[in-house]
Amino acid sequence: MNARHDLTVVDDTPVIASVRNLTKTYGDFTAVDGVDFDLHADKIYGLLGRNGAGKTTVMQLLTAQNRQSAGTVEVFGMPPFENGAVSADVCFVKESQKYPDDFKVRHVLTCAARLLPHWDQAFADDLVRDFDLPPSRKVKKLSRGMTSALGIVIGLASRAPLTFFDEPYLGLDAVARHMFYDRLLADYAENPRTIVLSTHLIDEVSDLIEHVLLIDKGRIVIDADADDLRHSAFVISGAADAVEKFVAGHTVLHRESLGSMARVSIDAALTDAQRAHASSLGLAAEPLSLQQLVIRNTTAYGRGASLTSDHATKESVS
Amino acid sequence: MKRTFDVARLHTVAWPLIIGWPLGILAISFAICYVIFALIPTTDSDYNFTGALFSMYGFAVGFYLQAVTQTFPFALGISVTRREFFTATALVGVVQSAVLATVVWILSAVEAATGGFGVKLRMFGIVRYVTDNPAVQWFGLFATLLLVAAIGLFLGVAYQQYRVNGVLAIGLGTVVLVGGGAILVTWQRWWPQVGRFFLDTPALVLLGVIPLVLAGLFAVTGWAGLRSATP
Repeated sequence: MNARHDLTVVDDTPVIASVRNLTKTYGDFTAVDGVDFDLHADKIYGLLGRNGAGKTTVMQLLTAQNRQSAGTVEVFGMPPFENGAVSADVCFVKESQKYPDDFKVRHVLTCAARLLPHWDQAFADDLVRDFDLPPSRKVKKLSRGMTSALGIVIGLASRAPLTFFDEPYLGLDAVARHMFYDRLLADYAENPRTIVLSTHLIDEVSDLIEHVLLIDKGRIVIDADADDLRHSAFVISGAADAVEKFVAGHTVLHRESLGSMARVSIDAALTDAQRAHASSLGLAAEPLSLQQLVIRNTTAYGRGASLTSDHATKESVS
Repeated sequence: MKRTFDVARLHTVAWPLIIGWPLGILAISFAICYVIFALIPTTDSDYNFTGALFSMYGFAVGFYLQAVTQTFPFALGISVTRREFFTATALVGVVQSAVLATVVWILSAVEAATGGFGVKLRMFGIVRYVTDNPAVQWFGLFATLLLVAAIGLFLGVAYQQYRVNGVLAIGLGTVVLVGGGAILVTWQRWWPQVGRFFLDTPALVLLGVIPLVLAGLFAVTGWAGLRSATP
């Protein structure tokens, strides 16, 4: 992650959490493999990756739910494991969160209000109304989507300086999901804090996240500013021969063709002049979507290394 | 300290469970026993023993088992540390055992004073078989309740760490230990000595000290497991 160390110089917000050579093994399976990254204050992170890539494990290690096999974790300058001072400023909302069988929605919220020191009750009440949560219903009886909504209410109203959302909206419909994004952004603007959002719905959150951490097979393969990323790869489409001529010399991420037409994704930040040149050739040059970028950088596509090297040169050494 | 109380209230927020169930179990067991012995009043024995009180001990095991398997993952989800959770749960265990011991102790005094509620019922006075000392009676109830709470906690941690395999392994271990012990005692013809141990050991040690030490052992082992448990 050399590029990241350069960025910490550019990025003037303080580092609130950092992991170095973080490793977690279960038997002979390595869930997290020598990971290094920092989290900065007041930023929204997208922690992306496929199922089983290690996203949840990384979050469990940062939130003291689990202990690392090797490496270091520091949150607010201290190791988080069994550290009440750190836990007080961290909230972790996970898709698989368990609630006691006999708890009703209001019991859960009462406990959260009592135990999370930055809790905003008025905000919580608002969110409960927005998401139509029935306070007197047992959590066990809630639908999957409503259970997710309860987690979202806790995560947002906790106002924790470091909040993790791990796939927070399983079972939520599109309307409720967008309500979550809207409330998150509005509240974030008023109460800046660090939010780590782990999700598969990359297209939906791509406008929300400011920084991307892409994890693949336990390793960080992208750690970059979302805006930089959005212009780091382009897709060129048009007449096949013109496209091929244009992309010559660039690293090709993906190639599709249909008859005489072609769409080729290249790993290159095009200048305005280059884009103008493309359109003069009758080609369309558009930034590759975050979702496409993630797909091209994960192992199922047999890549992962070459684009990575631009963003993370240290990876090959470690 | 406030934090400990706040965490402890995780166990009491759904209060029907912590107060309602044990009292409900006790009341219904009592009603059933009372009706039975009121219907058949002519037994020859001085007392009609009923093990109904043990249902309360069963409840305590279940309560602390689910405290670990259900409340613990929730507590860790809302920024409670394992130490805070354990301390608060131990506090609830001590207070709950003391309250239940007091209730049972008062009822056993009433039972003794009213000739078994008029039907020679012996439901609450189980420790009266061992001692007539009121203080030792209370302490015996308290210590045994605390012991089953600690066992419940221990089983909960075993389940949390190793799921069904953990609990089954403990069950099997117990069978092997108790069964093996029984075989050994029978083979060595030690039963008279075993009987004498129970008769000769002072009630305070038998009902109070031994359960308390065992409770401590289960609690410490449970804590060791909880420290590395993941929700």
